Amino acid sequence: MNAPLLEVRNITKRFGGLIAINKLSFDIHQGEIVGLIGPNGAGKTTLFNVITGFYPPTEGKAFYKGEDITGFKPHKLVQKGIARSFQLTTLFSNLSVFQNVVMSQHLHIEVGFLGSLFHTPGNCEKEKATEARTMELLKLTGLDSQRNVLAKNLSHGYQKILNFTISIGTNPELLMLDEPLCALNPERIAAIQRLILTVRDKGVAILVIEHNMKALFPLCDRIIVLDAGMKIAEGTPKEVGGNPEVIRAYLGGAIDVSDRR
Amino acid sequence: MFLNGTMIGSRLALFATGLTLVYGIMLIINFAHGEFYMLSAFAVFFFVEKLGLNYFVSLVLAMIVVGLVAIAAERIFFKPMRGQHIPSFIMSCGLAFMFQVVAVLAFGIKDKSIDTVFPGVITILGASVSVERLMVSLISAILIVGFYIFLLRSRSGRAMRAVMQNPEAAALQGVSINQVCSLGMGIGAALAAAAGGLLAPIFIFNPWIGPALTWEGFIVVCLGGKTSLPGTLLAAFILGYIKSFVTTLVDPVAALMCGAAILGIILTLRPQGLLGHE
Amino acid sequence: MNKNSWIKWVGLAAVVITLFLIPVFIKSPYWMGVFTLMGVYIIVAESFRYIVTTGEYSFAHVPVMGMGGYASALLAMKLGLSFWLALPLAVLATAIISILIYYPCLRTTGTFFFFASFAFGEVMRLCWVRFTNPFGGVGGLRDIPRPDAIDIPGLPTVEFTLLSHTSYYYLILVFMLFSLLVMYLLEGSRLGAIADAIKESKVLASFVGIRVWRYEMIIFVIASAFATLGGSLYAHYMTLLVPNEFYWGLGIYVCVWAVVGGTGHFAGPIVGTIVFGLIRELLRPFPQLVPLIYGLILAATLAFLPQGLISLPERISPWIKKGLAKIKER
Repeated sequence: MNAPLLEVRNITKRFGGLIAINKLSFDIHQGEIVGLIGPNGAGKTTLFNVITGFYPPTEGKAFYKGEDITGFKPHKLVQKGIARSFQLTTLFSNLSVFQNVVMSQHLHIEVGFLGSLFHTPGNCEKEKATEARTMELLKLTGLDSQRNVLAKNLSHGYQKILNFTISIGTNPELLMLDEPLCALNPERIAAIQRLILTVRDKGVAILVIEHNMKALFPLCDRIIVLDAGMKIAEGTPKEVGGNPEVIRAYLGGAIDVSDRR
Repeated sequence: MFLNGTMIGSRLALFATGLTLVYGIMLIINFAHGEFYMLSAFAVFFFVEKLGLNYFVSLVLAMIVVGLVAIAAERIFFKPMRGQHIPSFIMSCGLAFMFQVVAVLAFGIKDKSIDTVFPGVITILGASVSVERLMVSLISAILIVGFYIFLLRSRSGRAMRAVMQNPEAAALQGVSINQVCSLGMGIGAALAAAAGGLLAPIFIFNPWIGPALTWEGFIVVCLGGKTSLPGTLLAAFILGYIKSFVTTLVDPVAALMCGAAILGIILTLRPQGLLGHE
Repeated sequence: MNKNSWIKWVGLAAVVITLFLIPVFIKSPYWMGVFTLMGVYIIVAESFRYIVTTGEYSFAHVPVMGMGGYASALLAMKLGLSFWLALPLAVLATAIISILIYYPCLRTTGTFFFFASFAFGEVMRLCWVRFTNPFGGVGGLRDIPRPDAIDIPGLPTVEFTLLSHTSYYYLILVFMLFSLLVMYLLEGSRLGAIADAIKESKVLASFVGIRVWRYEMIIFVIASAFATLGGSLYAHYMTLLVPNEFYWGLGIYVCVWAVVGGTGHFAGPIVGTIVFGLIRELLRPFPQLVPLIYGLILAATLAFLPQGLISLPERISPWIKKGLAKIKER
């Protein structure tokens, strides 16, 4: 078993008197797809926010490839190789799809500043390389036909896909997805499921928050269940699906998790 | 010095409460608020000097007049900009310009003043205090209390509070957002007008006193917490006292610098102000 | 180059040549003065817009312009430096000061930024009022020296005395064109793309690896450098510098010129400054009405033409096309 990519150790987050996350610990390994589920208010998005630097944890630490990344700001984490998508579509609204994805490669664009100022020939070459890579990404996620549409004019489904594309454009090793399937029709869901698997096959580890368990469980190697800020279960989808604690957390409903593996 | 602070504080309180109200209900920034103050001072001047009306009557009339002007302005100019800070700010600058010109055309550019309404000096605790300033503080206090009673007890007041907290929920409950906005604007302006009328006998005024006052109002609003009315009160008095003390002990410019510095520090270190929540 | 950009280049060249030829046709010192000042204001308005490309509206911009003027004037007066030396030093000094002013503002955004920038700018301006010793207090600085004459052997000497209206006009013209060129290039470069990203979504920008605060600061400082340039040119032209000039009034005017002209386009603030400048001149006989007309135009533009005057051609062209089509039908 290789060393974990992400190690979360005893993370606690308090907002005033409210404990949003309570001594949470888990690992993510390279090439894994891990699902994060739990009822509303369980602290899933808060956990993402803590790990990705929106606010520091009250206690506890996070490590990435052995390095302490607790409290690191977003841009630093992106440099290290952690990317994140957002629940509400956070996009560069007035830029086109193409421009959005070009921006996502900020860290990998080798264009020198002076070169871009005067549009030297060397600069143009490098820009072409960036554009080529952008087109690859757009084709991969099926957005190439929409590349000139302004992000704000996309349909909801395509916006989610754009969000996803931007996060993989940063070339991450760990991808954190926040409800990527929310409010999508079955076709789109299938499309994103395929994308998630494709990205995993390229060696990226993925941590997914999702409510749609039917769609989530077939993808995941492991599931972590959160309730009221605490981990109440961890295991394969089948194990978790049958876990009485988990069922109780969701207030009595049996979870339909026909394991299609 | 202390009483001066109280008076300045209460003037700011009246003025700034109106500003907070406008911001809280409509989420717009009204730079012309100072102009309401200025117009009211001129209105009182007009009613008292030209029409020979009693001071208190003039004060009330001025509040009504300015309030109506404000409501008209809200309906015509601010309605499309609700919720957008920068465009509404720029629009209100335009309005401020227009009001200033109106005042200049109507009253000329010279400084004006009104005779003292409450002449005389009384001695409190060994310090001699002008009755005028005392009365201003008292009347301001009465108006503020009255406003709060209105806000807490009356139906319109409750509607306004509802819109300040959650406009969509309020709309669902049947509150007419348009009416509340207009009312809020009107009352906010009336409060500023009250401040203007009350201080007309004390300070000299001209068409350009608006902006300086508006910035002070913004300092108070930000210090207290942009959507918190109690915060505004608290901040108004804090600023009033600080200004009064610094003006006397150092010099007026330093007092202004203190005000500006407070604004900068509060916004960068504690954006929600003293009593606000974010 | 395709036909469209060829037309643009020719048009641009024509405009520049016209600007250089203006003093040949217009001899009146008064109008020279008007155009000279307009040039300064264009630099300030355009650099204000440069800050707006990150999505923030700065009210410290005009105080920074003032700081540039004061710095340059003081270097010339107290240290006896020539304008040509004082200017770059002033730009350097004010750049550092602008870092101090904007640094705390980086933590803020939107309305907060706008007020915070005002606050710090105002503190600086009040320093000029309070500390009469270097800054001259309310009365300000007087007798600021004009630039030294340019004496290149072989070419006629170019003087900048109080009577040399034309040469100062050219001076400002050159600086203005330079500033506009630099800002235009910057906007087309990576820095411009990054500014766009920051304006659209600071959150997402940081999640693609952009150090938002660093790039914002870079842009603020560059904009401040140009404001300083404008301030210095202004100071040495007017030979008189008063703190009240840089109070909220000018700050709002600059904002108005930029916004009414249109902050979306590069040329927006230029259009805005020129339009309002001309209006002010037209209204010379009725100075009291100036704010009124300003206010009306402001309100009308915000209501009917939110993207500014510069979007007027775009808005009107569908109607024109329809009109032309109808005429063709007949």
